[in-house]
Amino acid sequence: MQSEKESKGFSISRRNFLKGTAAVGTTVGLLGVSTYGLKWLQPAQAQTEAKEEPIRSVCSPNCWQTCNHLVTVRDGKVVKSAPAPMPERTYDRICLRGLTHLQRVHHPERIKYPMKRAGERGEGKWEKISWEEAFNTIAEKFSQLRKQYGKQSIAIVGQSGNYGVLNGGYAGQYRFSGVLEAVHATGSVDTSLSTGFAAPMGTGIFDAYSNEPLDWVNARTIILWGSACAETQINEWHFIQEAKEKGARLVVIDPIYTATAQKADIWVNLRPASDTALALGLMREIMAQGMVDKDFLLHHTCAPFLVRSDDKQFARAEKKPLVWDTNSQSAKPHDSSGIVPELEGTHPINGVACTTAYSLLWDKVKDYTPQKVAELTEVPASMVVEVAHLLAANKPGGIKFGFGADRYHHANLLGQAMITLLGLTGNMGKSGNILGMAFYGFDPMIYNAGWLFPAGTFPAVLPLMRLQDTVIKQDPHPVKALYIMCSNLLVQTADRNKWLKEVWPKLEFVVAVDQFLNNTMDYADIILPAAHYYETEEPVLAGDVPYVLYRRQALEPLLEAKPDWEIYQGITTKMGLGQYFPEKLQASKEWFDMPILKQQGITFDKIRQEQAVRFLPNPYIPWKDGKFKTESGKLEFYLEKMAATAEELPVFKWPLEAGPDSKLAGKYPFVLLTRHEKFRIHSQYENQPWLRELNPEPVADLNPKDARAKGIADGEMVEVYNDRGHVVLKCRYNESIRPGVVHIQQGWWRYVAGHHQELTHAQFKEGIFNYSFFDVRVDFRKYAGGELH
Amino acid sequence: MSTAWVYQPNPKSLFKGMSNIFMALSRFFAAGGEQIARTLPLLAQACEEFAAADTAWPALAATLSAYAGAAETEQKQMGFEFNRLFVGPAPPIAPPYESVHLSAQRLVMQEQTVAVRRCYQAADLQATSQGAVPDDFIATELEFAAYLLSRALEENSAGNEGNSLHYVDFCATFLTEHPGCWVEPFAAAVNQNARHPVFPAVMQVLLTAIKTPLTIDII
Repeated sequence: MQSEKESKGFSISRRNFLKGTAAVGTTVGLLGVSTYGLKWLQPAQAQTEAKEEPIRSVCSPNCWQTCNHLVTVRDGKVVKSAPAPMPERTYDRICLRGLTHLQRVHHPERIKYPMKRAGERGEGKWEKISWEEAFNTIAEKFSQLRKQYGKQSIAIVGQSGNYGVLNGGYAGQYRFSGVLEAVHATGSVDTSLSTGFAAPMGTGIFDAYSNEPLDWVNARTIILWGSACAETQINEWHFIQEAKEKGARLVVIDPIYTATAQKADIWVNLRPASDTALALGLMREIMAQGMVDKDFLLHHTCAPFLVRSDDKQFARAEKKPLVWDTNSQSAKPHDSSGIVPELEGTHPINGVACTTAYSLLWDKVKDYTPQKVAELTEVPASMVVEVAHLLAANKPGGIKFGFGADRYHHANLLGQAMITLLGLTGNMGKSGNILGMAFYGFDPMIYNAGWLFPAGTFPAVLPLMRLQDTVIKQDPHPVKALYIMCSNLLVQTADRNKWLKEVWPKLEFVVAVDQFLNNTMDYADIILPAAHYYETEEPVLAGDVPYVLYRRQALEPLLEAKPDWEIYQGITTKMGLGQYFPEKLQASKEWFDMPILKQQGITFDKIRQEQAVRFLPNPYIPWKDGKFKTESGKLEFYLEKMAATAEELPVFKWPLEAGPDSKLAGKYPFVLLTRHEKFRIHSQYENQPWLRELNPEPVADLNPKDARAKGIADGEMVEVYNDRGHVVLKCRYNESIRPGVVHIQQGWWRYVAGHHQELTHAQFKEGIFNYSFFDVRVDFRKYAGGELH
Repeated sequence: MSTAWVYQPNPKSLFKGMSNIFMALSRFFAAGGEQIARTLPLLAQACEEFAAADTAWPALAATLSAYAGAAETEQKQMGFEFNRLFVGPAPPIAPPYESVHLSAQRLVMQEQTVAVRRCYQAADLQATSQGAVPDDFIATELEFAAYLLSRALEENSAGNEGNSLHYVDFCATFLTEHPGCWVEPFAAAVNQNARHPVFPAVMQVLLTAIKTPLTIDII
């Protein structure tokens, strides 16, 4: 029974309770939270009304577009991401993936706390730990391993997840491994084609050797070679489209009828792995028809250099390569004044027959007639001729390569062939040229290598693809622990079963840092939550834009996520090495201590204020003076160092598996291609809801004729397999896939069974440590359930 | 529209008991699976203490007490299961954030989060880690309900009945408009997927607490 007092009714509008309670006033501030046992709540702090001022950030995965975003945050929620205005507005861009950061940054599946494995690796049992415990555990284990096995018992593993300087895989991570003197296992992707391409110029493989994209609109002929640019690099695609609108002819060389190929004037549908044969055919046609740029060849390339028949090296006098002077009918140093070098011919010098590099090149390519190339590549002979004539006569122009053609053994020879083609046609140093790839972040002029090693100690750099055998054999380094960041190692490297069955059991300790529990973190011992791009402040390496870039923090890291830099600080402090990881603004300022910026009066304050500051001339067109970075100053498409392996000039070789000559061709008649599409950057964005709406599940794209021949209907489950492993996924009839090819979009984390990286191999070419992801043969069959493989 | 209503019988007992249960639930979710050996007995104790005053709780208290006394190895398994259900690192079965269940895109830090923040601000409070931890984290929402009932009890004991009723009404409305809107699907996800029976039991406590009327409408 209610008391009289208790039974008294009150008329209160429930909707007015906020006002009513405010009128009551609260005393929590006076009494203190302890009075009520509050932990998750505290007395309200005086708060100024948050302004919705857009914060400028940078999206920086490895599409290398480094799109600048204006991020609007309201009440802690990102409500808008939009392109930020660049100094040249033509560079303003954002893509579908960039737009999904609204979801990614607030994704409920983000890793929220440091956690340690509690069951067996891969069992999925985890315990939450504090950062303090995480730092202590890692520092203690690293210290113990260093003492027991040496400093190279720890390998820092990085790939391309972030171009941030402090928090990415390209600078801060090096500093971390350098301070620890650990093994730094990285690279092995995108490096074969670019090695062959860059060597003749004397540059690093990712140096700033191409005209900047805004100049590409002046091209008359654009060849996209193994590049799905319309999907993967829309910033650059914009300029290509603009060039096309101005009348440029677009050639797309790709074995898949991609969205990019669909926009081409000429789609060159070639047999997988036959690219170098096509390049030799193009060269042969241009040389046979006298369409070379003779003046450029004679004065800016090694074409007239005389090559000794005995050792395949340039004939030299006073260390300078010799050419045959037609005026004096004698050999002269190539840079002698008043000479007229001979392009073709053989002459004896000191009793040794010497032939011009150009003549030797002709010897290499002369057999690659359009008809022969058609047989090798399945490209019509007339199309070979047409493309050759376009590149040579419809100038200026150039070749933009993607890395589709990089994914085969011997891809360095294709890169060498591409740069030679561009040298033959004189398409260099001129407005409208495209020279392979526009990339400005790694060039020594803007990449502060000195910043990487503040302790004067260095990492033991190891090509990533050598890490498997290094761990298995404990040679050349006794690696016992991996620290994996900016990398979904088990999804983005080859021969996954070797990792799990042979490498992992040898590892005492695995730390992995990421935003989501990707398939690599499944097998870690400690996992650490990484901050999102929008949650950090730092310099960002320029991708394909000629600016120094700076990212400001738009919001707090979600829950207990931390930027990598703070994680380094935590670990190294526990190891007594924290002095090498100063406060982030100080570290950022030190990064920008570079001559090229000082000379232009570009200060850290200016960069932090403006966030995108041009550091290259506008427009940036390298090689205008025709001088390259080789010892001779000329484009040395003849690579003396490669003579020992008979690859001093580009030659065509079928790769390990994908060619028709492969001994596996009978057993495994299909070539597996795992290309980039628009839904991911490598394996990033895999679980983003908007993208999953468009791309809900993994599929094996099969030409309907191939699928029907095996009695497989569209939508049925198939098992794709070879001797190394298998993957189970849905079949999708796809007419854009040529017969003989199985295509799976790269980057999927998990499948019904197996994984596409079980099918790939990690065999490498000596000196060219590059994954040949497409150099893979498979077969497929209807999947009836269970583990068939 | 106005509504007239009265206290439930024994309001002091109700406010105290419910406040303790909400606080114990908050601690259960906040401390995580690793602390379940500590937080589960506290939750059982809160239910037991309230059981003396209300017949709805004895069975729940008994169930929880049984699990609270589980052996260490089982406590460990409960901890792993807690993380699988609520924390991660794999996609959690039942994310403990209101906006994940109610927002169009099922994300954290959405409009529901901000609405909850406004409620805290109306009581001159804010989430301790505002901006990093979503305000609509279940532990924070439950702690807020516990706080409001503590204040109602305090005002009631001091004879400030009007103030007390404001807090009661605030709490009832908050529970209706926030936890009450999402804990049912949250609990359903747990009940359908839990691999240890303690979690359905905790869900039963949670749902019972959320649904316990704090007042009686008379008009």
